[in-house]
Amino acid sequence: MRIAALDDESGQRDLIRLTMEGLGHECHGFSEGKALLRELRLQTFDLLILDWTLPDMSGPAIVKWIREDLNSRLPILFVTNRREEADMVEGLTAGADDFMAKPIRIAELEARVHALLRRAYPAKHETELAFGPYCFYPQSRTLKVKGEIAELKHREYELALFLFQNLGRLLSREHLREAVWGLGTDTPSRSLDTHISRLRTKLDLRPANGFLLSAIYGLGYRLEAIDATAFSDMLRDPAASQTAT
Amino acid sequence: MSRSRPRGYRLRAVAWLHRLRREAAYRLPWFLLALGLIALVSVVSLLQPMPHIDRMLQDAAGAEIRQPPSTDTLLVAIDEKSIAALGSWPWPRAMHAELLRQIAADGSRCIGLDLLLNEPDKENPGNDTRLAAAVADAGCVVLPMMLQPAPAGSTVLQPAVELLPIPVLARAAAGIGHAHLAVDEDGVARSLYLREGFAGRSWPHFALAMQQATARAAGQALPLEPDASVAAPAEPGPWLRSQQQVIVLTTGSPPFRTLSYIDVLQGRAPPGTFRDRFVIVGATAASLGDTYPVSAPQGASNRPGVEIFASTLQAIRFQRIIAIATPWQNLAYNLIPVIIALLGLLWLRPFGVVALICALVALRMGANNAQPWLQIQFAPAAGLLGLLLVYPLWSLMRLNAAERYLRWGTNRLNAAMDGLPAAPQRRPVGDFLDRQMTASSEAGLRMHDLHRFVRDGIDHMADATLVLNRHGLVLIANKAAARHWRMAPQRLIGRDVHELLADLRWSTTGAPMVPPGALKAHERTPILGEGEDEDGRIVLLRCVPFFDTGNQHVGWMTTLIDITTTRHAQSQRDEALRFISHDIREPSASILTAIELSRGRPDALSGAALLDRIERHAQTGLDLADDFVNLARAEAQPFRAEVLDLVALMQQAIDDAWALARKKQLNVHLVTDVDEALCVADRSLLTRALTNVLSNALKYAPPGSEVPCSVVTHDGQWAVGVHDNGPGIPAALQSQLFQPFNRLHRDSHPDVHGVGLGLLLVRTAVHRHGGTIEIDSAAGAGCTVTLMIPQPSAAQLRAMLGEDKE
Repeated sequence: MRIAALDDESGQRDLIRLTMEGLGHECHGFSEGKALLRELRLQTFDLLILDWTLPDMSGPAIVKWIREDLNSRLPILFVTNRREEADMVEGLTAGADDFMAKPIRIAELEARVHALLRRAYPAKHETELAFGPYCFYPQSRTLKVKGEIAELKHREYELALFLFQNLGRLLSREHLREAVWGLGTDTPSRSLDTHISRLRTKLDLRPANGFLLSAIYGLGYRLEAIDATAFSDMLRDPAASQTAT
Repeated sequence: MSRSRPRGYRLRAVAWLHRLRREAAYRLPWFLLALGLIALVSVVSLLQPMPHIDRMLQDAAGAEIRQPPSTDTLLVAIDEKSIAALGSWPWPRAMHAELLRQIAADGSRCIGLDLLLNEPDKENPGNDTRLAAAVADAGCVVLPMMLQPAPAGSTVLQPAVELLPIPVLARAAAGIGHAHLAVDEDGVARSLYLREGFAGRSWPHFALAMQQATARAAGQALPLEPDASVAAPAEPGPWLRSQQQVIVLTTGSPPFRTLSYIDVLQGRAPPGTFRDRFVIVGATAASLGDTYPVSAPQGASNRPGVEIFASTLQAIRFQRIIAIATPWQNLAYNLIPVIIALLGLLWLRPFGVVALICALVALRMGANNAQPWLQIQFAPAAGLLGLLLVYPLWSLMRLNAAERYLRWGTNRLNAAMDGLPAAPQRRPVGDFLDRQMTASSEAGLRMHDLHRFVRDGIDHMADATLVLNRHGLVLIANKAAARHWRMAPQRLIGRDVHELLADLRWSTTGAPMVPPGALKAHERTPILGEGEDEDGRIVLLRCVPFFDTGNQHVGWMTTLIDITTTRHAQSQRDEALRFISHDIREPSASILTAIELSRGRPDALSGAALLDRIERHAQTGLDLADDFVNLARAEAQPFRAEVLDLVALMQQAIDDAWALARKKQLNVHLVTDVDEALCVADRSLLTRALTNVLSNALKYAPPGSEVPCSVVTHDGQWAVGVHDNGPGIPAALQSQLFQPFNRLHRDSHPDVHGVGLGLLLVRTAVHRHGGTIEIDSAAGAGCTVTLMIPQPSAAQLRAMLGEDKE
């Protein structure tokens, strides 16, 4: 995969480049937004990793340009020092697909890139219906946890399936609501919280089972698959961890 | 006490004098009017420049001062009939003697022979003797005397002389009286003097002499009268008159039974006619000229002197005396009502004054008609003039003053409002007073507009403003003040500002800014400065006196400027600066120190240990920055309320902290007695708070221990508790927990990251939810942090959820 990394700081750029190359991707580093845009007109990339604040233009402006002027759907990942919700909302609204906070942890970066690529290019990453102990059976609309059928209602099943299909991806509350209840329906705001809460209990979506359903403050949810042993290593020394998912 | 009393008196006297002076200045026009009127009335009363008005008034009352006729007085008239029978006057005195004898024979009480017998009968001297004998025989006969006035243009050599009866007659007479009447300038006889004569020779009036003679005859002792047989001294001095009194005429026609001289002389009077009666013999015939004009209801009419004497005698006998007032009595009579009316001007309204004056005039008229009862006759014209003048003069002066005052007030108002918009002028109509009143009311309207303008100005001021009276009671409160005290402006009116601002204390000293009685009427020290009230609001108080146009202190203008946010921002900025200048620098400095150490002593610190140390310091720096930003956001970001489940939120926080728990092999578990713990909260704020509390517990919990979390109901609140078995916090240090940038375990647990902003963030977030934070800990006993979050009412929940649906 051809990946472009835009960061004005060479240290960060190098870390991203080395990590991507470690995953077997081809990574081009850019230090200026204008240079990247120029390059984007000439050639194509499969994934973009963007810094939010750049000397010549802002990250969201670049995303907007790509989505509107270039009319491209290529996946974009923000890596930023900004942690405020308002910023995250702005980035997502502009058309970014995900983002992660600096300092960069190699394992997290790998997981995010992996999730984005798998969703954007499903031909290369087959859509799986088995996730560790969780197995979906679309025909019967059932879900088996460790071989046993979970008692799920219609919407709970839909929500679980959507979360697992978007494993590792940040899903805003709006997005989740639209995906499960449909667009424009009059959904009580408590419903999503209640369903998430029930899923957590019924499916025992606990880190012990290899999955972590994390809430990104007021923004939304992200279901992540974790490797318990790998995580503990990663926390101690991010550079030492090579595997995720 | 005894020493201070005179001083008090003196002070009081000074105050009284001061008041009097002020009063005098205020009453000046009145004093002028009073002085003028009193002078006028006095002059008119004393100088009598127009006696006919007085006479007119007195004559008008004359009808009331008649006396009823009496049967005990008879007149023997020398009338036309007698003259026709006896021949022309004078008659021989022997005839008079015969007449006297006839009358006395019938037993008369006293005879007044009103014939001037001052010269002896030269033709028949024997007649004089005969008459004298008859006089003596009759017993009680009174003779007249008169004054021969000095001829006009006479010198001192020819003085006035008494015309006395000849000595032989004078000796025989029981009494001698003067036969004068007082004739006014208009020729009308209205009064007489009971006593006339030269100094030391005061003759009684003829009527009085008759009365006295009768009294003497009855044995009464009376003072001796002058001796007629002794001639008056050659230079007797002025003729003195006293005891003037009004002639009280007798009613009836004729008032007295009158007999003709000739009838009596010829014995035609029935016997007993004269018994016990007073008899006055005198001329009534017009040809003899002994008649006088007297005032009568229909105007003046001539009456014979004898009739007037008879009336006077009757008046004396029955005490129907009406004395003529002396000038001083007249003055008092005229001045007193005028003074009463003048005093009435001071205290009565116009109608009252008019009524008072009418009453006084009526009283005077009554007094005029009540002369027989009062027995005194005044000259009332001057007083009447004063009474009639007092009100018109006063009205004129007051009207003048009112008009002047209106003009002055209007001009002053207009001058004060010069430059302010004026209503379109109406065309002045009416007389001078109407025009002035129109101008005044227009100025008044402008003043009203100005008042409204100022009032609105105060009302719309952004800062709480109170207008107080001199003692600190609220007169005006604006809208901002109503917001500040959270009550309607009307309810602030009349409140004592000392009460309203009782909780306000100086920021510097902590002493009350407006202690009771701070705003005194006599002390005008402004209160300016910064204070803090019970709600923690920082307020700039400005309380200054204001004055009226006369520079009199009339009240206080109080403004409260809420500078809480400004001060808060300032203190936050100061804190942030301190934080950046110290705490943020520290990790970077530590990293540089580690690198320095590694370079100098590679054997002491190198490789993995160096990286490890650098990582830890860098992580600390990063956390510091994050915490700082999070805290600032927790304090400032808008509160987005929604209904949240505390159980789910806590479970979420536990899951999110999984990595850390896993690393320390901690068992984090949630204990709850409810399925759902709904509350109204801001998702991001509350999530941060819970995450923070949990990560704090995870930091201090010893590896491998239990970290129990709970969500339970407690006293109508949700209690979210997190417990760790860490080192705990000694009670003494717990007060420092919420001070920014204070990490308690810095020394004991250097390996634990964090700067102590965490708990402050939690407290800020919980406070914004209306909740509290409780810490239960002791040294070595672990620590339980409990967040108390209010439980919403069912109605509140319904409202919130219903709102969401829309």
